Amino acid sequence: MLSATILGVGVRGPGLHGWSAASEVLCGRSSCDGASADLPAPENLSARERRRISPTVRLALSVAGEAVRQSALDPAGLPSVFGWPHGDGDIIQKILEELSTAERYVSPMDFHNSVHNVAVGYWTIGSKSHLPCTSITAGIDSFAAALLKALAQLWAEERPILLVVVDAPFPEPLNSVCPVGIEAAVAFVLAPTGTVGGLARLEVIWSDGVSPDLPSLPQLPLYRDLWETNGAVRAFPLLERLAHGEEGTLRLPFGRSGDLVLRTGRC
Amino acid sequence: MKPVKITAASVVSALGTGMTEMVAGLRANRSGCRPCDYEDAQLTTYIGCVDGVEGHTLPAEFAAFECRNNRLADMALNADGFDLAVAGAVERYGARRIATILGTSTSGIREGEYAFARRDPATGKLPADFRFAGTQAYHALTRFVQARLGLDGPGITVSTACSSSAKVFADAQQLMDAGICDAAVVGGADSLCLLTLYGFNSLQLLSESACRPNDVSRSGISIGEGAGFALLERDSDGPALAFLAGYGESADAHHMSAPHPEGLGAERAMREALARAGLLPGQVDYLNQHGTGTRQNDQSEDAAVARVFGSGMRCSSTKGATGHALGAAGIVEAAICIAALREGIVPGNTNLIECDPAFLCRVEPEAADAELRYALSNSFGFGGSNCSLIFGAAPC
Repeated sequence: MLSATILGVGVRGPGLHGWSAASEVLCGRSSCDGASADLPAPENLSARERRRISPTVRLALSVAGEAVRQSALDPAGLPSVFGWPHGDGDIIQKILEELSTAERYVSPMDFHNSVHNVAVGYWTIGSKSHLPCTSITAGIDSFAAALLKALAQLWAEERPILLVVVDAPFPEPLNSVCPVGIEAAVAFVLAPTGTVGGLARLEVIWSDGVSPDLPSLPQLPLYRDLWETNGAVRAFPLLERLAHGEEGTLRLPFGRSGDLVLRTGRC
Repeated sequence: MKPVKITAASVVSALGTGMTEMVAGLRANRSGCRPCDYEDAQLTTYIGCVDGVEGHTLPAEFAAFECRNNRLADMALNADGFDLAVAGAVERYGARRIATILGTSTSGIREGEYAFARRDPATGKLPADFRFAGTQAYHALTRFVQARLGLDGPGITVSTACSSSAKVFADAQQLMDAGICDAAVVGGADSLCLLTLYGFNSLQLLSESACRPNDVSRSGISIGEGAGFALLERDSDGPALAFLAGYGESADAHHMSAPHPEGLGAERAMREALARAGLLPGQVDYLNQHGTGTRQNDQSEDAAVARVFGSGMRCSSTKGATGHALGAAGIVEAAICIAALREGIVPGNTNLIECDPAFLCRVEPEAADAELRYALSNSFGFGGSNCSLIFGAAPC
């Protein structure tokens, strides 16, 4: 079993504008209007870098910044794991369109922004963290994969770690072959169990079989409908537990027939 | 850290299919790079193309994954008895106790390029036979390899540009150490596509001739392709090819597409790998450089290596032989280090004519016989993502 203390949370998505307001929505005390909101300007990037980042990278950086602020830790002291099902769909489609023309001109900025690790790359530049950072995917299971990787690294290194998962739709025509639905991102700062000042305790087991009797879907219909398409929505049931402040067990599908079993509890 | 046994390894690169062809190429200091004849790419550059990939097809049940990238992966699974070795591990541990952690920078995006070229001119729609999930999607590679090997453990795709398939070794060690799995298939694949050829061209980083890492006249990279795998086992009693002795990862936190000018992130990754392996710099016998052949990379890496190991460290870049396999470079060069330890050779720096006189490292121009105990491989990627791996020789 792997475990951690959650020191900070960040979330952005339709109707979810930062953890403090979103937790009211996720536990049912406020209604979900499904509206999007402007994102704060990314911190610690130069004006030139701010111009270069795409809306989805900005989304990832905003939840990362929120979770780290809540943890009160120095971002330069945090390694990071970014999970992103498909990378930056706007940039990838733009390059595919450029390559289908006779000129095949790819702009240098688009090319270096096309790498899957573009979000974590800008995060390290902004946070001045030289610690290990990575960018991973497991398609729709990207949150499960990133959570497992982050917890294993936490186990190995015994120091807090930043976990971010982000997903956003492709433009058409890629949207038709790979629908994602909404833009959403979630971040956690995870620390060794027993760290003081945490929001909650989290335990995770890689399960030997499917446990269909355990709850796994988000409660709000808007998000439940996106369970099979949006990789960030996979983190919402955990957010709901944290918003309710309840102990509980969740099933998070991972792979062809596996599961992560997540247990939440008070610190 | 406790050294991790590597019980099987395979490789496919411009030097050929399997470890034996690769070692023969390294011994002969042969370059697999040739003038770019990749499909209809109109670029004055050289490429490290894998022979036989066009003629290879996946077994019929994997038709949904059919693309150049997964074909390369399949060739590497067939090579060096790798798939049989994994079948043995499945018997020992069970399919659910073996993780699959693979690196790729562009997966099967070539299929997306074909699909965009065939869009419906009236509606802009992609052709109905485009299978995004099994080809272009980043995770398609790992899903294919898991299905092909019958593995049901955690499947993770790492995509950190040119360090992707090096960092997978660190991830696997952590998952095994945490008790999530008993063994892991690591590695990766990257294949020629227009995105990387034209993208690096727009950054003016393509060499017009075959790349010459460490050379005073170096002028950029030759894009290659490749695939490879390693089987890592936590508590195996069986024989090992070599050991993963340590790893180090770092971030430059400097720039998205340029390395830190003094190689600070690279230095940090190498020092961390040494610390984790419990080794002093003098105990590493050979260093396989990231050595892309760009002015900036080779200069900053040389400075970083010299600060960690002192001047005169025995080094080479093998990218003149294989081309730069991008996201697969980590596993191709891991395979080169494993082969170097087993065969007792220091690979040469293929295509070197005159080493940059400002460099402090001892760049080996030709392959040489040498008994090696530890070899270090560097992999650095866009976004400032660095990884150093130290491999140790298996006891005779």
